[in-house]
Amino acid sequence: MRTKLNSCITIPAAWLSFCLLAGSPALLAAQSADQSFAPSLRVERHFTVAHRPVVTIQNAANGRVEVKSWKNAEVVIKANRVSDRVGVEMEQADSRIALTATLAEKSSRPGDGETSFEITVPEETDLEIHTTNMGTIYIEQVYGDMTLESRAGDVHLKEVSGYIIVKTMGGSLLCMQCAGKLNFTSVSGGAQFLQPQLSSLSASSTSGNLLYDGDFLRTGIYTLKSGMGLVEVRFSDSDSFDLRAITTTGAVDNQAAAFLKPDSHGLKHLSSRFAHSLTGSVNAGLAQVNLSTFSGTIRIRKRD
Amino acid sequence: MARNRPAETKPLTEADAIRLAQKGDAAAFEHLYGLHSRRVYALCLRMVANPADAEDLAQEAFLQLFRKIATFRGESAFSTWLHRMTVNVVLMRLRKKTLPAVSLEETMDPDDENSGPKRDVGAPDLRLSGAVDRVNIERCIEQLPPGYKTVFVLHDVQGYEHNEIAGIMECSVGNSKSQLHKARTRLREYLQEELRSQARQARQDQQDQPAAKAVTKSNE
Amino acid sequence: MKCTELERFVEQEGLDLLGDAQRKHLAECAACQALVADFAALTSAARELPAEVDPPPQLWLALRAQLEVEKIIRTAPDPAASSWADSLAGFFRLHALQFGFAAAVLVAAAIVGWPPEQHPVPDATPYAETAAVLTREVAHVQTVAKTAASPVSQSLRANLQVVDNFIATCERRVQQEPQDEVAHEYLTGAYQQKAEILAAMMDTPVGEN
Repeated sequence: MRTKLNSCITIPAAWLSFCLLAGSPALLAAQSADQSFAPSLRVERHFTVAHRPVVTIQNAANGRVEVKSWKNAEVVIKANRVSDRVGVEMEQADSRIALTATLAEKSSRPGDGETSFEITVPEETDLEIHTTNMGTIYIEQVYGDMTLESRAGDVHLKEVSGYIIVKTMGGSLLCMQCAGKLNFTSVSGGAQFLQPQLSSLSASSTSGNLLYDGDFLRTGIYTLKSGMGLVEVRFSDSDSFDLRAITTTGAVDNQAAAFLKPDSHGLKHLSSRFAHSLTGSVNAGLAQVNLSTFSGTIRIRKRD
Repeated sequence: MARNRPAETKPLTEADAIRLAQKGDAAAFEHLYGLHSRRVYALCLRMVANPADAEDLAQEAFLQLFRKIATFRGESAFSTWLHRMTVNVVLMRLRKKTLPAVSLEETMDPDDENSGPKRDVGAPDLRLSGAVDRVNIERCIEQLPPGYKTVFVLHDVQGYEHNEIAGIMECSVGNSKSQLHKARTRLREYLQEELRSQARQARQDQQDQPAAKAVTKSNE
Repeated sequence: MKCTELERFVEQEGLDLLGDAQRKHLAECAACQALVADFAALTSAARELPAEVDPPPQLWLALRAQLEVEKIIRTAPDPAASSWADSLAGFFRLHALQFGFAAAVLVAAAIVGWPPEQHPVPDATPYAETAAVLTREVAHVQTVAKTAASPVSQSLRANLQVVDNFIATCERRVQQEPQDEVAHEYLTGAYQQKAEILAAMMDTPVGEN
């Protein structure tokens, strides 16, 4: 509706009124949206590194931490679905990159505080990862020294090599085609070592099951120890190892008796009156395999 | 006293230095470095025979050690832990320098058939007594495969016992003895070949001398 | 004695322990004589090589610089907390102030004399004290944390239960067979795990996801 005043003023005034009237519900809706959910963000940072970097991650947020490698001399960190509850800090000191994710305050919204990280690193990188929540740590094709600690989440390693320390409370370890030396400890988490090329392994759990299904390298030392869980090793015709299996109150299930000979080095093993034990050698006894449980079962199987 | 030792610090036991280093104390790090750097550097130098590479490796070994010092719990002697780290740094570097297919296992137990020295068929073995000097033994040690070299240097040069070497190399005592024997056998072959080669060269020089005299005479 | 047997003896026992059988063979076998003599010559030459070599001065300087850049070298430590036991006690003391667990300091000292200098002699007495301290602290932790419904807190409580069950099993064994070193080893490990779980529970704020 026009007035008899200047048309330039009248139309805009009406239009403005219309806009105000039409727009206010939208404005009100937008304002309340800010209050009802936190915005979803993505943060990406690039760090140039000169030589084998050390990447440390302290993650208090839920969510997966995934580390993969590439051939560039660069570390790239992508944090996905960061909410305003999660504080993410990244810092570089020469070749040391530190990522810290903290939870700012309590929230009752499900999924809030969930932040996943994708980190791409040079093939040769040292890693120190500590997670205090449920998220999984996943590492693929990285070579270096690693210390991985998870409170409740699992750890998955694929084609990883180096000196690897894994410590969990309840999380389990899945280790596929890993090489180098590995140390695993857990309370209730189990571990599976599939197609490994490990020259040294020490794995222990209070109640988790431990499985080693792969080759025993000729100079390797393998120690698997579980309090109450099952300890199982599977070997093949070409393996050569000395075996010592000992359990306090559990059982030894030797499904490969035909392949186990008396110790090839002529060493006398003093048997303990407190434990059930089995010793012997497969082929020339070049590697050392030590299996131990308190009350769990020890199983020795030959792969078909 | 080494002229390039770091500045003297107040006397500390190694255990105290480790505890202080775990808290980030600079003097403690320096003390630990001072206690162990000469053996570590010597080991690296024997393994790679190149001072620049040895320096690089020794620095890497100490860096890894000091980065991880907070995790040291005393399950083994500190020096064993350090030497283990040094050996692993060296072997990993050597592994990287060879073809990708070479596994760490092969550096510990190389294929004897393929890497022995050539021998003159029918030539008698030369006795080494009185003929081995520092220069030729160092040259021959350099040629040893990494796994053999490591055990030989640790045992025969640096004087570690087999149980200590087993802790450093994370292998069995039996394995350490076996590797040492193979290393010595291989070294013996290299030294004999070296002596044969020197003897051949000496004979060649003698044969050339009369010819040279004849040429000189004819030119006069 | 055959040559292979002599060689195996030298491999396993070294050159210094040759007995009558080995000497008899050496007297009759020129090849083995040569082997032993050559080994003696090369090990003697190897021993003359320096076991220690001074590194170049720039090695320490470069190392120190890198340690400072990576902040591994930090400010001087508090001299009052110079021992391992003190530093772990300090950690527990910090949380003890939060949760009133002053006695948690005892846990650090009681946990089987860490670090062990030698293999522990089976003795039930230290465990009784450790068990009593841990039991009191568990009661405190559970009082504070009973309202924590987060998955992490539930996981920690479940793991604590696993370790407690295992400790009970091992303790029964140790009581029946006090000389069973393997059982002592497992029990020691279980107590250490329990202390770690308690520390983790103290670390986890109530209500955190």
